[in-house]
Parts: sequence; C-alpha cells; structure tokens
Amino acid sequence: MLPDVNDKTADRNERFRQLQKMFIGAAVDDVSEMGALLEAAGDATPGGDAGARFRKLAHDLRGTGGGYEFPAISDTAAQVEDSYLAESSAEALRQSLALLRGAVDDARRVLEPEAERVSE
Amino acid sequence: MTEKVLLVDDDPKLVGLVQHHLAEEGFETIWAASGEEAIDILAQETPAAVILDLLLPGISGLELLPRFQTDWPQTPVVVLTAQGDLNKVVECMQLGAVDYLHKPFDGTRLATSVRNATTQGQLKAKVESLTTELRKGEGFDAIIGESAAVQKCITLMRRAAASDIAVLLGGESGTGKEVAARAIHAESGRRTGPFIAVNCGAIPEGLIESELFGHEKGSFTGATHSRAGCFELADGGTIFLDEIGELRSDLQVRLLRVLQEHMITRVGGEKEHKIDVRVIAATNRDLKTEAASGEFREDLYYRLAVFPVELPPLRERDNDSLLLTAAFVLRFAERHGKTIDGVSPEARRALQTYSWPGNVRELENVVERAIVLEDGNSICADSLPIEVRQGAAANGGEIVDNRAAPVSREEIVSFEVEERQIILRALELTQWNVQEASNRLGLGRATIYRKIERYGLKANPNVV
Repeated sequence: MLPDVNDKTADRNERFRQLQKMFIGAAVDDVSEMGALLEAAGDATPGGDAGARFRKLAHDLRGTGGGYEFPAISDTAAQVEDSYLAESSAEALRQSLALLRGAVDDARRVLEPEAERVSE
Repeated sequence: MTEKVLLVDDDPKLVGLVQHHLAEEGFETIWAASGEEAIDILAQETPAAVILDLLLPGISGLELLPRFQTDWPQTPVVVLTAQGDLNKVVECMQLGAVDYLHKPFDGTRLATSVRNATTQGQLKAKVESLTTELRKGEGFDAIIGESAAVQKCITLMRRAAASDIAVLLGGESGTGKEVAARAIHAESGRRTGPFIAVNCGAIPEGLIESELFGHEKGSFTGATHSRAGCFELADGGTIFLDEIGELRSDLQVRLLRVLQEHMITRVGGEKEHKIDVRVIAATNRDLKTEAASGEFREDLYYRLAVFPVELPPLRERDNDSLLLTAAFVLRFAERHGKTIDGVSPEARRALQTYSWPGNVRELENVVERAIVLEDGNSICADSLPIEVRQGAAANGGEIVDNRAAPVSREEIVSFEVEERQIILRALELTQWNVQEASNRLGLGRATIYRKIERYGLKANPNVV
C-alpha cells in the first residue's frame, strides 16, 4: 500500500524513505525472478515470453533505480538489459545479473540499519 | 481544484515515485498500466497532462501518441522512457509530445516538465477558445439570414471556400459583398493568411496601378520609397477586388496576366515577384453583358467568374430584415449606450415591407439612426426615416403613428442629428461619390465636404 501523500504528519523525507523500502522489496523480487528465468533456460539465454519478461524486469529496474536514489541499480540493470539485447551468452547474463543483485543488496543494507534502529 | 496527471506505465514501481514528486507540485497522479487503460480513463477524465512510457504491453507509446493528438489534442504529453535512442526522441516530438525525459529521472526535472506541459496546455486551450470566439464574428456566422435566398448563397460559398477557385460576387449595392468575401476567406484553407480588400472604384486613377501592383522607389514623382502592392500583401491569402467593373482597360490587361502567371512586376520595376493569392472579385454591374459587349475584357471576366455567386437584395430575403434589425439593435444600442431591446409592431411592419434599395447597408444606417433618436426602450415608427414609413405605406404596410398627441417640444429631434443621417445615407447610397451625393441633395460639393468633416463621417467597412 502506498504511503498516504496527504498525511500531513509524515514529513517528506520519511515518506520517501518508505517508498524506497517498498522499491527495494520489489527489486529483490524482480532480481530473484530474473535469476529463475536464467536458471530455467540452462546454458541458453531466455527466449520467447521468458526472454521478454527477463528484459522487461531489467528495463524497469533500469528506469526506476536512480529515481529512488539508487543509481547503481539503474546502471547495473542497464548492463543486464543491454547484454540481453546484444544476445550475449547465458554466462555473460549471469555475471551482469550478479552485479545487479549486488547493487540491490547494497541498497537494502543502506536502508536496513535505519529499520533496525527504528525497531530497537 | 487539484490538477490530475495521468501516468501511463506498466511498472508499478514507478507509480509511487511519480506520485511523490508530483504531489509536491500539487498534482494528483492517476495510473494506467496500459495504453488501453489510458484510453478508457481519457474517455472519462481530462487530466492536465499525460506522462507516457513508450514500452507498453499491447498498444505502444509511439502508437498512442498520434491517437492522443487526434482525440485529446488539448492534453499535453510528456514521454518518459528508459530508451536513449535519439531517433525515438525526434519521432516522439514530431508525433506531438511536448517534452521527453529519460528514466531514471530527476524528480525536480519531472515536476518542472509536467508543470511546463500543463501551463502550455492551458495556454493552448485559452488561445483556441479566444480564436473560436473571434471566429464567431467571421466566417459564415457573420452573414445573418435564414431566408432560402441567402441560405442558398451560403451553401454555394461554402463550396467555394473549400477550394482556391476564383469567385465573382454579384449583387446590388449594400447586399454584403465584402462580408461574403471575408466569410469565404475565413472558412478557407487560407484563413491564417492575409485578407486584403481593394475598392477599384474608390482609388484615384493615377494611384490604382501602384496600389495593386506596388512601385519601386523613384518610379514616379512622390515615390520616395519602394512599396509592395496589394497583391504582394495578399501573398498566401486572399485579395478582394471590389467594384472590379471600374477597373480601366489597361489595368484589366495587367490583372489578367497576374491571374494567369501568378507573377507581378511593380510599377517602375523589372523584377518579377511570384505570388500565391486567391482572388475574390465583386461588382454590382452586369459584368457578363459588359464582357459580351466589349466594355469589360471577356477573357478577364471568365478568369474572374469561375464561380459566380449572386447575393440577393434584401427585399427578396423574406424576414431577414427583422433578423438583421435585431442584430443591429444589439450592436448600436451598446455602442451608443442605449437600453433598447425591441421594435414596436408598427416599426417592424415598416422594416419588413420597405423595399430597401440600399439593401443591408441602408437598413444598418436606418437602425443606427433610430437608436440615436430613441429615448425609450424600443424603436418606434417615428424614429424611422420618412421614406421607410412612406415606402411601407405605399407597399400596403399600415403605419400608425403611435404618438397620439402632436409632437411636443421635447420630442423635436435636433436638426443636426437629422442632417447627419441624411448626408451619411446619401453618401452610402452613392458609394461615397461626393459629386453625385451633392447633386441629389441639392447641395454644393464644398458643403458636403464640410459636413463630412463636421460630423466625422466615414464609410462603414462592414457593408459594401
């Protein structure tokens, strides 16, 4: 559920932080799905609907990461999408996906310490 | 009221981000996950702007852009996409997008782009609204009349307006030939171009050639500068040649060449200027007969009269005189600060039955005179000129003086008001031929010129 932007008691930064957490949660799911699609394709690159889905997930992370102040997610997602469009090998795709996964993990670690402090 | 912005993007991760940044600007974000969904929303809502992703399931953003331009031209579109292809940028802008943003976007940049787009959309809507208001007085809306005779003319003129065909407007003096010419221009594909009217009968003979075709510096005494003529000024638009039958024969030859070759040479010049002008001509003479008898060049006549339209005299326009009267009452009551909202039954009968030799122009003058004379809130028969009342009586209309008592001292109209109207009417009916007007009024030419200056009389450009 999106934070209520009309909630006058929540300041803008807190609202944005909540959005960032929601984004990271979705990004983790997306990266997992991309990994599953690659694994299902074995030594080949995903094709057909699976390939379109793989590309779409990379494309969307590319277009949103920087907006949530996670430029590394946008950059690494761009590498994944470009690599897929260049018909790179499955191994090359796995390597670029690993970089993307790392960027998402880094972003989660940036957010998680604050969550731990809030929960303490 | 909060303005709404429609985001068309199938990535739900984007919605919160756009909503967050646009909320700071006071916008509410509506979300469509596909082009089809966007179309359904736009059928019911009118957002201030659309943010459109190019990569969509189903209909793509590039396919949607032209549809938005056609169906919702007032709604500006900002394209938001991760694709960095410059060709796509050009294509989007050519298809009507007002701005283009790469994802991931900067929140401030997005908000600025949407704010600029909504402002542009509001300005565009305002301009279109004002243009529509202005155009209400132009085009065929300016021709007031429900009679079969005038409606038939309008139908013909609409057909003429749809092309560049040369039109020759005929009809008695005062039937509205210039109004008709302006209407054709305003409804034509040249409406955004100039409309240049030239009265070939009113310009002194020594100046008409220069007026039409321009002159070069030094080409004659007094030509201290080069000057473009009316044909050059009308380039891209329409030239209206009124009283074309008055054009002397050597100029008829020159005009024919211009119409054939679409080139003009200024007086005293050597260079040819190419022109793209649509010609509408007008005359109250029987030009076809004059062409047959050699008084007017036959080849020029047929070049001008490709599409002849004869405007009917007012007496043949059923009850249009009353419709016109109502329109003139509104106009002149406001102009002269009078509260007049009607016409007495007797005055109405007179206006309907009089023969109107001066046609619409004469009716216009009569109504304005009556407005000036009236102290009450309706036009009475007494405010109409005697010839209108007498003419109505002669035509069988019963005119009753609705003032039961003899004219009282307070009801005497100033001589100046009467004199002004008489002189103005005589000038209008003689097409501002001062000599003829003075002859008919039994006054000297010098006297007429003094009266013109004293009363500030000038020709009404709205009625031919």
